[in-house]
Amino acid sequence: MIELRDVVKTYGKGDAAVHALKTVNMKIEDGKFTAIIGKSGSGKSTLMNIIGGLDSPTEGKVYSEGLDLTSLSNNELADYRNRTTGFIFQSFYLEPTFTVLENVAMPLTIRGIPKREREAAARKIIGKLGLTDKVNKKANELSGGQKQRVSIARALVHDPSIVLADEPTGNLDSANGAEVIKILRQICTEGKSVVLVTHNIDDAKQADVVFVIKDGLLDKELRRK
Amino acid sequence: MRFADSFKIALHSIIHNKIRTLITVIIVLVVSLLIMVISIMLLSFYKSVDNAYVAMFDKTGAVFNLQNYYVSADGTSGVSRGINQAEYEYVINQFAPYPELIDNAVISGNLESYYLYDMTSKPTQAALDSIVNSGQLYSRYNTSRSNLNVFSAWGDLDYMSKDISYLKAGRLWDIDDEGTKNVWVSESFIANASLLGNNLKIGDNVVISCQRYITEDNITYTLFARAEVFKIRGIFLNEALEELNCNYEIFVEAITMYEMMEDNLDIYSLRIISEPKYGYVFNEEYKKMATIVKNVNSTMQPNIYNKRESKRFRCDIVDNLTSVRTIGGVMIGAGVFIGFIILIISIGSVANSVMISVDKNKKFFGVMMAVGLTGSGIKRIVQQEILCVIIIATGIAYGLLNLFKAYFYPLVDSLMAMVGFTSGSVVIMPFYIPIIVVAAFIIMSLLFARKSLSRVINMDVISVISEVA
Repeated sequence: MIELRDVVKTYGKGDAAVHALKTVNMKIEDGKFTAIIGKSGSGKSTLMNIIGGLDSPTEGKVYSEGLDLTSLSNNELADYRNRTTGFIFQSFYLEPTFTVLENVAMPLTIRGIPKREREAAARKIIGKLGLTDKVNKKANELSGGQKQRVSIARALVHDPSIVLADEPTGNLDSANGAEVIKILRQICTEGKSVVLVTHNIDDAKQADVVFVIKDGLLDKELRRK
Repeated sequence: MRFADSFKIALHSIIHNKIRTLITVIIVLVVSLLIMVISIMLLSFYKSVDNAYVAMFDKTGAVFNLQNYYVSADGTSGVSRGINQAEYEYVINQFAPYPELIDNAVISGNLESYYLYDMTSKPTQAALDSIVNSGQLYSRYNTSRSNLNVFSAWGDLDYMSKDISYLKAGRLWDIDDEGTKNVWVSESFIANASLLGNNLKIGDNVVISCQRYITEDNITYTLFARAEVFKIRGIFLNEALEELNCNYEIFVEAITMYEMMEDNLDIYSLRIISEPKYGYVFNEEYKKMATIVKNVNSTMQPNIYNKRESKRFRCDIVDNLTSVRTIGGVMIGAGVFIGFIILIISIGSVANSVMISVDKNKKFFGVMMAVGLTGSGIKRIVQQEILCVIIIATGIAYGLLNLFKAYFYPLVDSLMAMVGFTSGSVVIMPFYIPIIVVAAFIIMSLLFARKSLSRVINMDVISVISEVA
């Protein structure tokens, strides 16, 4: 369970202050496919960054896996990200000169897992995502859809309990976008919590719970019946 | 992250940033080469100097000289009065802590004049005083100061130690003669005495009166005279003395003259010879010698004759080596300064390269941080990148020097020989030079790149990712 209590995020100070989040309270249940939707600038990505430990709130508390993320040091947050979360970005953020295998194994490399072990884990997840034949290809030799699947593989290789996806279909055509949503849905069935940040209503419709963010506030919480 | 993995990422960054890496490697390579060459030249310089002076020391030993030297207002120069016995003893005492340095102590002395008496008995003091007054009364034969050689029993027996064939009669000087009133004369001395009616032979007594003028206030002169009976022990052949380029007629020993002239022996110069001992270390010998020279020169009373006179205790090796080493120090200072400037410039370039590397890899670092890499983990990767570039470049520089050593070292040697250094003194680069170069590069580069690295550590993942996006 991820819980946000009175979370406020303000960028800048004084007259130049931008209130990205204005007292948000929410609970993200384990094993659910949760979508956070909102218009551009509504604060949904800020929310995802705070949940993922990439950013800290100005005020309020964030609890995840029994940890108070707001009390963790930078190194502890890095460890939290490495063990608990997996990130999928709109722009994939793959290292173009690394192979698919190297990109996917990156979280395990950072954790200091021995090469043989991490490559076995990476090959397994790459196989599951249908990229076995691309395992030794450089990331810059892949199509957009393939890159996003590699990005998903990287987010799953270390078996995180929370997967955070920020507009994962934003750079993909509709077929590849649908494929990504399908994969996320499937991840969820394996007991992981998936948090999808999107402005695409159709993508959000696949979620179990949808939080609608508007002007930095939680506007609605919708649940699939 | 494991060292091998971060190192692999650092290497990956180097390989995939070919142009930047190449430029940095070339700069570090050139600078490393320059520093290595400067180091070799400076080390060779020192070896050359030492070789030259060690060779000189081996051949001649060190020669310490003490004599007065003056330069008059009109520009003329020369040796003025000799040193007195107190000064001589002071100098000798300076050698007391290093007795091994004295192999020979040679005293050259002059008397103002001397008179040869009736050769049978020592004159009374009254008679001597009469000589002072008239200079004529008992004179049988007189000669100028330059015809008297006062030699030291400790060493420089220039003429006394020659082969017996140099003598017309008698024997050569022997250690048992030390302090005795024995005298050696020339064949011409005997001839001149004969003209005066004295047919001298070996074993005969002669009375030698020594006297010298004492100058006071540059005006008043008094004459100090003493006389003693000497026994003739040897007669030098005129041809032998000519061969030796020696115009002395009477040879007496310094110690005897001390006793005879009390404190009035006019020592022309003091020469101490120090010979190299088995297994000696030149620099240690040099330090002892330099200490003595420095102590004597800092404490000896200045000469009283005129303000422009100088009196210095000199040792050729110490004097020359000191000046050469002073020049060497300037050269080294200049070399180090140039090397330092070059190093700073190149380190600036390395630091700049680091900054570029950080900026260029910003997205990669940001993603790595998003998936759990800490700031210090990124810092480690950047440091390893710097380390790799420096080691590669310095390694190539070292390799090039070794590859072309057959040309390089002779070239340095001949260049040094051209400017007067001892040939064959070129030093093969010691192993520690490249290590020092690498260490200096790494330390300085990391210091210069500190700002960039602190930016990396404090990098905000969100801003990096969103900036790149």
